[in-house]
Order: sequence, then structure tokens, then C-alpha cells
Amino acid sequence: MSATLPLRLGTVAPEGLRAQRSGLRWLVREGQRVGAGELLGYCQLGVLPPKGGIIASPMGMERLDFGVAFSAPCAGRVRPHAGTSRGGMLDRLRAAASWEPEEVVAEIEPEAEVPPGAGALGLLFTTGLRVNPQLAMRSGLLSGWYARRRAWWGEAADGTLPPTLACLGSCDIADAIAGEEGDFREFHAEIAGPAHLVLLPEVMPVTAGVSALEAMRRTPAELEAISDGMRRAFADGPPPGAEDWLFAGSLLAALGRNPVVLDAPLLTQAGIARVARPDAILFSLIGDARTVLRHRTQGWTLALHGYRLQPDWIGPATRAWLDAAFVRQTRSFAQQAAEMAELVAALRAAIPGPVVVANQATTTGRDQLHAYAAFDAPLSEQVAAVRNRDWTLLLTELARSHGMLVLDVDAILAEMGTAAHMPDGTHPSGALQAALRQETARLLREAGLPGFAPRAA
Amino acid sequence: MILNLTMPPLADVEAGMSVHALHAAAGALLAPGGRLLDIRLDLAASVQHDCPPVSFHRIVVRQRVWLRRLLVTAGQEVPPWAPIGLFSTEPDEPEDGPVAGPLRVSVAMVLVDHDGA
Repeated sequence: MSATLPLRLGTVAPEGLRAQRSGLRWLVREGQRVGAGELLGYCQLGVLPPKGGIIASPMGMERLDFGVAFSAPCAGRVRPHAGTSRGGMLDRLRAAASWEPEEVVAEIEPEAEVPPGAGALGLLFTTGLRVNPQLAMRSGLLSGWYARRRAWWGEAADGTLPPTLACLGSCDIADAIAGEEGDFREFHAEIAGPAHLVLLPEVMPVTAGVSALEAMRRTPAELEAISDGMRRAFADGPPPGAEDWLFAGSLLAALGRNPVVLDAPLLTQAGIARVARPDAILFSLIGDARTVLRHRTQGWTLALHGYRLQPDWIGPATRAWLDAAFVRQTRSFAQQAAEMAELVAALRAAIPGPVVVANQATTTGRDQLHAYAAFDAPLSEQVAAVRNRDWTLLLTELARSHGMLVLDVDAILAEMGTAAHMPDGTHPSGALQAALRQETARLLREAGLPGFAPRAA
Repeated sequence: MILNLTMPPLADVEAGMSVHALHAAAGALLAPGGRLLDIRLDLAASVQHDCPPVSFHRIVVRQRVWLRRLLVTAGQEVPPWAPIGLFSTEPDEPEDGPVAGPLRVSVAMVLVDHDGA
């Protein structure tokens, strides 16, 4: 057995930048056995140029919830040092201490011999772009409400940017990528890296399908026209309340986000770089709504999961605007299929790497179907299982014609069991999420995207 | 021969099941494949997350029968195994005769436009 290793914070701010941190929040107990790469704790982090206030942070608005988690360099028993965690707001605000790279914050008793110099903590940077800067929630790492959230390892391999995977999140895949705590720790622990994982969650409208296609093409003038229409509707209708303004603001912000435009600052030990766009994109069919609201005069599509329109979820001004300005439209399978082909082609043209689409379960366990005689043709407009099978067929054709990849949720569920792992057809178990991560990594690896090889044991 | 139909247990967890649409009325002759009714299944009772998992399931008959008595109405909540209707294989059999067995049906999840999709 090796001697006890001191665990030092290491470098987070490359030359020319200064760093501050909060107190440390430990995820492990004194003497707990940890595996190599397992997260031990985290803190809030601030990185600034030598002169200038906090708004000079190279992280831009993502400075607000910038954090760093520490991972164990090897398996062993870890002992956090007393006094590194100070509790209260001092563990939430980054002004508690200067970041000192040589500061020893814990020690580890390795289970096996480790080479000299192996005592450096792994540093996983995390940050999120708040839906609104006012919405602060620092109860944990990435615990706020974000328009995008992301994580990457801080080691600078050879100065090149790590490949970026962006997931257009819906319930079936978003948390598979972001993990149980929403900070991507599982996915990063499973792949060799380096990789930059980004989640663009469903803040208001669904993020995939027709929403993504329109967002990629929407001009600033069109967005202004949408905003102007909402303002006029609110002025002419019932007096808007807080929930109306929140709905309007969140919706407008979401409509203005192009999923292939990231412009995201990436801090590594080598310096700050900017990631302009994702290298690969993952989304799922659940993010493509069959029934949408179509604006009567402007023609744009509002694709919301219906539950967001429950009577006690939206205000009277929003309800009046939706009723007056939109018409409900149920799209045929053919229409959705054409838009999907268009979206995949547009994404393939916009990013250099693979486009991965997750299909849906084709069985629910509730069907007892012996004949299709009772259903009108085309069956894909009537029978959910048939529509989902048609989707898988379409994705297979698009894989051939457009070079996209299919994350075959249906096949994985067939192996694992739908009732146990996706009982409502939408929300996966932790085991299924792990399987989806593993399969996503395999698809990306086989498509030639570096960083997604399995991490060595 | 008198046959009965009870609400099939569409979910293995507690669920709200209600009649979304009736496709046949008492006295109707239903051929195999004939539509009987659509059930709205709402898992929100047991799966209390933000997005209520609502789905719709169509019950169709698998044998030639007369619908003699419908025991549910549109919108009615119907618990698992509650009676839905009485059927006969001949048009003029007394409804109050002994029930020979369950009606054979098929059930499939169908796509229905609704506000909670």
C-alpha cells in the first residue's frame, strides 16, 4: 500500500487570471472508500482578470453559478481536512477564500501503488446559464434553473478544445446525460474524455423537432415581431400578473436560442477558449410534439407539452393571448417526418459531427391487440405503437440518407423491461439512464468523435 | 349467451381511468373489430410529477355480439374490474340470464387530441 497522498487543489486559473472560491462542500465522509475519478466535493468558483470587477469574468453570465468539483486521483480512503468546509453562505459564495493551487484540502490512502505526482485532484468545471440572472439557487452544484448547463474537465490535454456534445433535453434523455444530480458526473466518470457535455433543457417549449428547426432559422426581426405581438396582446387583454410576465419572458428567451449557436466560454488549465457550436447533437422524438399551437398571423410554431397549459399553471393574460393568437394544429406523421428530415439535414450542415436521435418505446405492455381492423388507415395516425414503429423506420431511413445515428431506446427497453425502467413511457430509471449514456457514448465513439471511449478501470 | 365486460387493469399502479368516448350504444350489433369505447388513463394519481402521463386506450370487440346494456357514461371514472357492459351473442336473449363469461376484446393505445398531451 502507498503512503498517504496529500490532495492539492491544483491550478484552475491559467496565467493572467486570479481565482476565488467558496468553502468546500464535501460529498464524502471521513475515511470513506472512493473509486478513482469519484467526485469528493465541490465549491463555487470565480475567475477574474487581475484588474476589474466581477463583470469582467471571462465566464460572462455563466460566472454566476460557475463551480468546480474535485475527483479522486486513485481509489482509496479519503480524509477531508478540517476547516475546509465553513458552512452557511461561506460555502455558497465564492468570496470565502482565494484559490491556492498548492493548498492541501484532503488526503487519500491509496489502495494500490500510485506513481509519483499522481496526487492531483481531477477538476470538473460546471456552469449554467440561468434562465434569468435573478434566479439564484446555490443549494448544490448546478442546482438552479438553467437555459443551458454544462461540465468539462479542466485538464488541458494538448491545447485543443474537447469535443462538445449538446443534448436538446426532454425527460427521456436529458437526465441520462446530466445524471442523477444534474452535474454530468456519471457521464464524465464513464468516458475517458476530454469532452464537453452540454444540456439545453426544455425551459418552456420543447427543444427538439419543429422548435429546433424554427429556432435555427429565426431572425432577430422575427423574434422582435413575436415580442411585439406579445406586448400588444398583454396591453389589450386581461391585466398581466407575475405568472404572465414570467411565462412571456421565459418563452421569449427560449425562442431566441439557436441550438447550434453556443458561444460558450471554456476554462481549462491552459486558458480560456470559446466553443462556437456543438460537435455533436442528441435529441429525442419525445421532444417533437404531435400537436402544436400555430400562430395565426406570424406562422411560427409554439410546441409545448400540454401540461404546461394547465389552468393553474398560466395567468389570464397568457391564456387570452394563446386563445386569440394561436390555432391548435395536430400534425400528420407525414408532416412530422418531413420536418424531421429537414431538421436532421439542417443540423448535419451546421455541425461537424454526428446527429443522434433517440426513438421511443414501441410497446407499452398495455396493448392487447389481435387485429388492426378497428382502426382507420393510416395506422400511424391512430395507434401509438404503430406510429412509434413508423418513427423508428423513418429514423433508420434517415440514418442511411442523412448519416444520422439512432439511439435505439426501444431496443434497450426491450432488453431491460419497459414496466420496470420506463413505466409511463417517458421517464427512465437510473439503470436505463446509465444504459442510454453508455449507448450514446458508443455511437459517438464509432462515429469518430474523440473523448467518448470508456474510461479505463 | 350473455357475456360481460369489466374495465381491464391498464396500469399496474394506481391510475385514474375514465370513459373518454363511447363508440356504440345499447342495442348495437358489433362485429369483430367493432369499436366499443376509448378509455382515458391518467397515471397522475400514482406518478405525481409535473407532466401527467395521460394516454388513451381503445377497446374493440373480438366477437360478434349485441351490446345489450352499457353500464358507463362518457366522462365517468371507472375503476379496474368495474362492469362496463353486458353483451349477448343473440339479439333477443334475456339480459338477466347467467353470464357465460367475459367478452373477448382487444385494447390498443390510440392517439387522441386532448389538452394534456
